[in-house]
Amino acid sequence: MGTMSLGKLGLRKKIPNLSREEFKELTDFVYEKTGIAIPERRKYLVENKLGKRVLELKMNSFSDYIKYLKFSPQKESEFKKLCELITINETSFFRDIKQLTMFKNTILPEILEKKKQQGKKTIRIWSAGCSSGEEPYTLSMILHEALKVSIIGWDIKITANDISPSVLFRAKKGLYNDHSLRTTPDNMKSKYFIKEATGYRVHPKVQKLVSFQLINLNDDLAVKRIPPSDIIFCRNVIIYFDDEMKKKVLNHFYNNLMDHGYLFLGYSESIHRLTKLFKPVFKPGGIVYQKN
Amino acid sequence: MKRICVEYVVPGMKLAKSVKGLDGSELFSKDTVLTEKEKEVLIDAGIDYVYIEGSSEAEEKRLMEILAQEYVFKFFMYVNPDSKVFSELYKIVVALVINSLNKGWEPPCEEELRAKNVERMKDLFFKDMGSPQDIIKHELSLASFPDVYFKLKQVLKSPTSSAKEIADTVSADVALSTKLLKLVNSPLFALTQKVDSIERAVSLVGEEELSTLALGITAIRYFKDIPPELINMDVFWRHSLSCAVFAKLIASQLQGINQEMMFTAGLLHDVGKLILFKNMPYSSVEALIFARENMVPVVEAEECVLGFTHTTISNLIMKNWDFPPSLIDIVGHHHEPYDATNKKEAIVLQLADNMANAVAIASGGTFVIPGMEDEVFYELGLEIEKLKPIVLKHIKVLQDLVAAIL
Repeated sequence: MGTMSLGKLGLRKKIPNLSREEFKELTDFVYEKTGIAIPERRKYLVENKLGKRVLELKMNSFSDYIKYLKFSPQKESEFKKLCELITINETSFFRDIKQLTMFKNTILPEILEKKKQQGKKTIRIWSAGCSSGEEPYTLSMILHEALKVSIIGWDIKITANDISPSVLFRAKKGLYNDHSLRTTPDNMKSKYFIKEATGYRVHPKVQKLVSFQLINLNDDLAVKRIPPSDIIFCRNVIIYFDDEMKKKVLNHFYNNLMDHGYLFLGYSESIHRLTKLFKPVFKPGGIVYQKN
Repeated sequence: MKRICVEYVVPGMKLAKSVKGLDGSELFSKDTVLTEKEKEVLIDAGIDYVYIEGSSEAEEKRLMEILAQEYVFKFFMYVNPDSKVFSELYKIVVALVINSLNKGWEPPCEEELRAKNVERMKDLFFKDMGSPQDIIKHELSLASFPDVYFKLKQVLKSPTSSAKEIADTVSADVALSTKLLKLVNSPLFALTQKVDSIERAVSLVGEEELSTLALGITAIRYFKDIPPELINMDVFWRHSLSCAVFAKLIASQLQGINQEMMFTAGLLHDVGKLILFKNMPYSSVEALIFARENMVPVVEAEECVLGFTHTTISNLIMKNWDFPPSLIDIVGHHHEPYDATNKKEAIVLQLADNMANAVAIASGGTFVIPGMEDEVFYELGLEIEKLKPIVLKHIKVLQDLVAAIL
């Protein structure tokens, strides 16, 4: 240690200073547009993460950046870039396999049975906050597993949405690396993926059931256009919202779900403090919420 | 030639070997100079490693220095970029990482740094359906704290206690006394003569002090049974011991702070995490994953995922074990030292925790530095220039201590 001169090295890598006022303006803006609440204690994190983008744009201050974000002709595309920087896109196929197994073994058969009795062989699933597509594709694979060849007789649509265009681009492409498949059982891997030079491609029959849309859960009108669902998956999304936004999104889900429809949330997302609109149903493998 | 993870490629690095795609076809030939564009293709293709070299030795050295800076910076994303304390720590750690790289160390890829999902572990309760108190109740029903500590407490309480009685109590526990002797004989304690009996140790270090150290070492034994797929216990205790050494070294630079107390506080500062791992294994791992994904400290991730943190758990369990109140106070406030009764000690522990996390970056540490405000640091009256010699001393003594007491 000590052979090289690190004298000039510092933590502030030429990025401009983010004042308290700028931080508040920026986070208010993000909250209003997305519902994502960034707590005060993450100010430096925001400064360090976004500072790089401000430098890229050759701006001298965060104030300039906020103006650009709000009023420039590029505001739409910049907002999308901002979303990419502040949202987390980390997920994998078959994440939380206990919950998915419970879905496959108890909830799905119940819904299929009900539909058969009603003589309406349609299934509608909404994957809200789908990131790069691992979750909706996983659900498609589970439906293929459950229905096997009889899937031809069913009308199935999985609507998947996210606020980040770049992750949706990856989702539509359907090409994944090892990392996305780290929690995928081997038999699923060989059945539903095609190995290519640059990764694993999701099988077209899996892709066929899924449609992707750029939607912000805070956009009431866009959310209302989502077709009514039998089941909603929204995992590890509302953890980024404050209580008010959580309630708002849960209301959206309530309105979207068909009677007695089911809502799946992330493992650590509890809603029983927030709303009485759903009834928690305890199953081995986790909790699922049913529309009251 | 060096092997590095694709995500650490610095534009300008040259491929020392050709890169093959998943199906065996060649993606890039040897000697390709990598730019951001090639880097993106490699990442998308899920290539983990590439072999790189510089066009000259000097160029390779320069590129590796950039790599070190960018690698280390990620761990400092949560702290104030204007902090003088953390700028100094950053410089120290960059130098440590360059040193490690020169010795052939490979910085772990993102994926290796990420906690692995565990699927079979069952938590004591679902979120919001139980409380920290439930965890403590369950924990206490499973196991009790090793006896020797309570015996020592009895002896200390009695007005007629003597060094010999204390020594006898400790000596009855052979494993404990061996470790205690190794500890007090280590360069960390800098005693002028070799100590070969507990009785001698008591008279040199002090009755209270030796009992406090005994408490810390005993605690390690309590947590033997945590499943290894959940948490690497070697890494956990190494961090705790590293924090203990820093806490003692920092305290030794200051007036009026009990160094042995600080050592034990360092050793025990994260016991709450272990209780959480035992009782809420799935959530605990979810919290670790959340911390990595969001670049936030584990304590903040716990708050988001569990709704409470390991410090609350530490506090409760240590109270139940009847640990010394000042120790509980210091450990329980190492993330919010301002609320502590023993404020200065809690600040020392917070700094020690940050420093232990920082130096671990050069050997594969996983989590972002939680940070602290410079104004809090200044309350110690410690000069920033002292940090580097403290780190050097720490590196000198840690390895032997790991062998001696873990």
